[in-house]
Order: sequence, then C-alpha cells, then structure tokens
Amino acid sequence: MKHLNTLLALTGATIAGTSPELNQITVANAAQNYAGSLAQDVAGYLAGLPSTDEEVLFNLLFPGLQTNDFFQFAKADDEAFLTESDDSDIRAIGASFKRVEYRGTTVTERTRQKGLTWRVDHKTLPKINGKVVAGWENRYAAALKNRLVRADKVRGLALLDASATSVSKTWDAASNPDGDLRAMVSLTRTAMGELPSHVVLGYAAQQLRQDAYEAAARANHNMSRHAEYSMEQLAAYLGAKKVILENGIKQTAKGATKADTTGLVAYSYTATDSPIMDDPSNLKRAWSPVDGGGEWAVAIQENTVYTDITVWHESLIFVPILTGIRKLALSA
Amino acid sequence: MAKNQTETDKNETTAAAPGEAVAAKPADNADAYYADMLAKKIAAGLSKEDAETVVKWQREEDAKLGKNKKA
Repeated sequence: MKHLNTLLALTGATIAGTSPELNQITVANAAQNYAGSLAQDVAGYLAGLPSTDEEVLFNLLFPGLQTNDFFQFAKADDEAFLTESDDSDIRAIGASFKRVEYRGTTVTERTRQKGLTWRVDHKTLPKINGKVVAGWENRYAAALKNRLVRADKVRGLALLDASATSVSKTWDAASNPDGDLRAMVSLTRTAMGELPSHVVLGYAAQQLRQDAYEAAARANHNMSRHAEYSMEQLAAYLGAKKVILENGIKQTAKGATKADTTGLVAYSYTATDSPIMDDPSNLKRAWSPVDGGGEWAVAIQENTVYTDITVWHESLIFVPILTGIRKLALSA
Repeated sequence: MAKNQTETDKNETTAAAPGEAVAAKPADNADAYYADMLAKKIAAGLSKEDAETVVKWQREEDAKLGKNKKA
C-alpha cells in the first residue's frame, strides 16, 4: 500500500489534495467527495461504518432479503407438514401414485421508500482554525440512518405484535416465567412444525422475569438461578435458536418521556437468518436497492449557509406465515 | 382516620382515576373489543384478511381461557 501514490500516478489519477479537472481520473477520497456543490447521491458516506447496536438488533429481529421494488411471495396456506398417515403413499399394483400439490397464495407487494432530511446550518458545525472539521457529513448521515433503523424496527415490532396470538400471564414470586416462555415456544413449534428461531423478550418483561425469580417470597429457591440466565442459557433452556432482549428506547418528541420499544411482552416466531423469498419464515424484511446500488442512499445538497443531508432506504417488513407467531402479555 | 383510610383504599382498588379511559374487556362487549383489535391490526400493517385471521385465532384463544363468555 505504501506504493499506492506511485501506482495511482502511473494511472493518471490525481492524488489526495489536488483538485479534479475535466476528463481526469480522480481518487474518490474524502476531500473530493465533499467538494461537490450540487445534489449528489453518494452511498459511500455510509460505507464502512460499523453497525450500531440498534442496527444489529434490527437485523436480528427482521433478517433482510434483497428484492426489486415490486416483488411477489408465496403466502403459506398452512400445509407444510401434510403426512400420509393413512398409507395412501403406498401404491397398489397397477395403480398410480397419489398425486399431491402445494398451492399457497401469491401476493404482490412493494417496498416503501423511507427517508429523512436533516438541514444542517453551517454555523452549527464545529471548526478548528476557522475550518469545519472534516467528515461531518458522515456523522450526520450515520445519525439519520440510525434514526431510520429505529423507526423501521418500531414499525416491524408493531407488525409482529399485530400478527401474534396473545395469552396474558402474571409473572410473580408464585409463577414460573420460564415455564410460560417454554409453553409459548411449544405452541409455536406445534403451529409451525419446528422450534422457533426467535424468542423476543421486552426489556420490562426481562425485569419482571428477574424480579419474579429473585423474589424473597419464592417458595422454590432453586429456581432463583433463572434470574442469572444469560440470553444464550435461556435459549438453550427453551429450545429456541436464540432469545433476543429487545431493550430499545424510543422518543416521539423533543423532551418527551422515553419509552421502551418493547415493554411487558414476549414473542416467539421463526425467521431464517438468511431468508429467501419462499422459505418458511414468519417474518421477513424485503429491501430494494436505492441509488448507488446498496441498501442505503445518501444525498448531499449543499447551499451557501446550510446543507441538506438526506438518507433513505426502501423496505417492507411482511408476514408470509401468520401461524405460530405467539405473544405473552405480561403483568406483575 | 382508620375509616377514611379504608375508604381511600377501596376507591383506589375499585374506581378508575378521573378522566382515565377504561379499556373494554372481552366479556363486557366482545364484538366491539374485537372490532377495535381488528382495526389496530390493520393499522399496524396487516392485510384485512390476515388481521381477520389473527382476530379469529385470538378470539378462540380467549374463549379457551374463558375470557369472552358473552361473545
């Protein structure tokens, strides 16, 4: 890499710090990306950024698959585990095999465009020796992306909640919260035909669960060790692939009280980590490429005294299979 | 004093706070309860058909637990 400058010089490319000229190959470095004064789509503003906790959680909850703007998927008709328990798969001499078919229901959907624009007044930007500290566009774009991730996560959680069949449970010193979770997992297994990949525990639900096991009034003290279970231990106990502690916070207005994105609830469902259009997942997140070819796009529109930074993406969280999505509505 | 305290406790456990909306329970008015549930599910992004299916399942689940006896 130390010879990069030499190699680039051989290609006729300009090196960092020099101004690009017409018909000249240039190196797309930071200084030159920011030089534009017109609106431009620059996916690179977000490239290489480390994933935030929020984004990791979002991808865990709703694994994404790439689609076109418009896409079709087969909605399951709850016929994945049909079994010939009447021996009708045994062919009689001279007869044909039993003929079967899977139909499903084809649904056409489209991804929605979701984005935010942040008007950044240049007077608010930090300066050193009279010059704006470089890289500020990236930081603002990253903040907008995080906000959009959070909005989509909340939207997805609302859809998950709406899709779930709920049972109310009380978690206290006299109850066994993990037994309730195990029963929920079992219901998903019976409905889906396999153990759920996801158990989602709201932050308040986890607090209540720990309170229940730590309660001094608990008769079976041996159970108190459940309070210390990590999410991995809990997953192993439940027989689920993973337990996700959804501990996000949302705020709907400046100064408004912050609230949990998932409260006193627990969910179980199945979602493959690397989904395809027709795998048996309860929930999927379709995303279509935006300008630049990636999942996220950034447009920088610079004016004399302010800059508009727009970040957007196109996605849709949808439910191909309703059956098996279960919920526990909890109270103390 | 003791009597007043008892009255206060009674009020706290039985009466809703002024202005507080009391959510309809399945047994009170089952149809309205589930119609409201259906509307919320559609608003959350489910198709009408899917929302109706989930509400039907929820109603069956509640019935198993004896929650909507008047339904």
